[in-house]
Amino acid sequence: MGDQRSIVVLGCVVAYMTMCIGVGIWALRRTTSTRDFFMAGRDLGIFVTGLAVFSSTMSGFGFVGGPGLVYRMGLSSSWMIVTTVIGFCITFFLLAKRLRLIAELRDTISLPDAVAARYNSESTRFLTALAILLGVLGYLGTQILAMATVLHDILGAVSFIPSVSLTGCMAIACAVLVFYCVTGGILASVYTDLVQGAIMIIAALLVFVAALSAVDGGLTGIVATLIRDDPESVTPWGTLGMMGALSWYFVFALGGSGQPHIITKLMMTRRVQDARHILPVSVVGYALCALLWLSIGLAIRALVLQGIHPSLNNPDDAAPQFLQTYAHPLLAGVVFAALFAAIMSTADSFLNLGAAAVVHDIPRALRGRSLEHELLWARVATVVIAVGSVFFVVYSRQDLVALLGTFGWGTFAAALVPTVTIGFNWKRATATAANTAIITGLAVNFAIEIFNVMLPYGINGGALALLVSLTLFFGISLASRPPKLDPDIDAVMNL
Amino acid sequence: MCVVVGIFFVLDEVPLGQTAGYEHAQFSGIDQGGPGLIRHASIIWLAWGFAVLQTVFLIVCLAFGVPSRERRQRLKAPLVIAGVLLVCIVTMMFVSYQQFMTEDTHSLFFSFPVTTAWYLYGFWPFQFFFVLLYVVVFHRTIVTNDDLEKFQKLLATKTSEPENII
Repeated sequence: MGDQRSIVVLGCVVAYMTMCIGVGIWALRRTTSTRDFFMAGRDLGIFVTGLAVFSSTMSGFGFVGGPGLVYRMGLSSSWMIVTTVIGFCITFFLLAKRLRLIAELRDTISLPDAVAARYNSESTRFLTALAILLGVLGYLGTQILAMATVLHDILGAVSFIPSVSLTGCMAIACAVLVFYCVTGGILASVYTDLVQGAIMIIAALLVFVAALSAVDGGLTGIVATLIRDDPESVTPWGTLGMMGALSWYFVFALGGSGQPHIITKLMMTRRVQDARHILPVSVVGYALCALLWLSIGLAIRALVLQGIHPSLNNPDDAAPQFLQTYAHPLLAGVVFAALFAAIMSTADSFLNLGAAAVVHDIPRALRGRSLEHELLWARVATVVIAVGSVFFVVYSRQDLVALLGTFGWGTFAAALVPTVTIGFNWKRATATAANTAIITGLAVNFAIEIFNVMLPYGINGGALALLVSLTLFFGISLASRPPKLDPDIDAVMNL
Repeated sequence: MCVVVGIFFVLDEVPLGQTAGYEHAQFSGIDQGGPGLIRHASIIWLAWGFAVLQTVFLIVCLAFGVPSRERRQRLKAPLVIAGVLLVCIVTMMFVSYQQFMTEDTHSLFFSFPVTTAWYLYGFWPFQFFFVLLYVVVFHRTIVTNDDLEKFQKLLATKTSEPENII
């Protein structure tokens, strides 16, 4: 990067982080209870929720990992974004009303609270919280590592700034994230998500144009280059093949409704009727951001194949290298800020979910009540989880961090889709079936990753785990005696 | 779906270990898929079955989110028609891919091979119909005024219960 370009990029990133700190200070005065801290006082408007839902879904994986996957596999990974439209629809058709009504009726402040109310079971609450905590640790570790890596590259390119180590960058990124999450809780998180989502949409549209014009012949030129090298890469299946791509269809279309950082936001809306407008806002925002995922990945693959750009040792460098080389400095600055936005918007949701699991859900499941001075402990837990994730990243096996991060989506999908998505719409579902589905989902996913099991035809491990957990969930529920629901929950499920 | 996925576990993988792509010989970090005819010809219709079953399952899930049989009846026609059309689009992706596997030169439709065009210009945007459906039928089938009234009554009963009075 030239020094002037680097300064512009750094300026955009610093401006963005200052905005996050500002939102944290603003939200501090509005956060006076645990309900405010974890549920934003159940007072979020349509645009705030809509953009928060999609920006949490996109995450750093979408802005960094997504283009990297297209660079590596062609269009295989596009199934993750193309199917998200119907995925969002399933989330809203099945959960938007139920979760919001149960949240108001039982004054729940977390997803495990709602699950415990539905199944009338503390063990289901505990297992849901445990699944969330495990996923949070992995996701958060990788998000913080991704932030640090990008910041390290940006600072390293500015000649007058002394060298900062990766750990130092981790500390800086983590400090900003923790500051606004501790001060403003989920309120700061969703309002930064609002800005983050807007930045992501603008950046994605501009990058889409830049990517198409970076290759001679535009989109047709890109596709022609890719076909000459490997025709399969531009088919819907990409290089991964049919079954690999179709298993992503399953795990991403259905699995979205099991992601706690997404569905928890449906409990925070001001009115249940707002779901009608939140869905289109989220879907359109996500679809626009998907343009960045596809365009950078395809363009950089074509540029490498044409010999114009050197090949990448790490596919995840696709987006940063494209921006550093082919984008206008100001656009690069905005997109780098968007990249931080994408990472932070997911990380802050996970920090909040993790804090709720530690100070509220697990204590309630184990001893029947949550901690005293819950708000104070929630803030402490937020710091501890963030710092713990940093230590986890620095001192643990790197492959363990990547392992937890990469299959996080599949883990949540397999563990929570049966319990939450189906369970909140089917009175016949039992707590035993839910517990079995959660344990099976976690066990199958972990076993596949830890023992490095290669499934035939590239079938995704998360998809297999989801299929198994769903089958067991339906089977056990049907084989058991119908459960007796609490009258108020029964009434809500009739609505 | 379990049965279809199960069949893949007992099928011989051809070519062994390369059905999910392999590393490019010249460029690091890039995978290649290899000839589609070799890796997909034997499984294409089984994979189609998996795709169709998934699509049907997802449509059924959407209907599952509508509470009563009476209201579900109102959504039946649009969901069934949309489901059939979506299955047709998925089928066209497979049919055009079958042709793509065997041809030497590939015709493009708006910059993409025909199979990909069905996917990106058909399968993707068609799903927005379900978003539109949600918005249009929301007050009639998802959250009705009757629902809101019943919920307010339920909430009032709940808050007046002695155990809830602090």
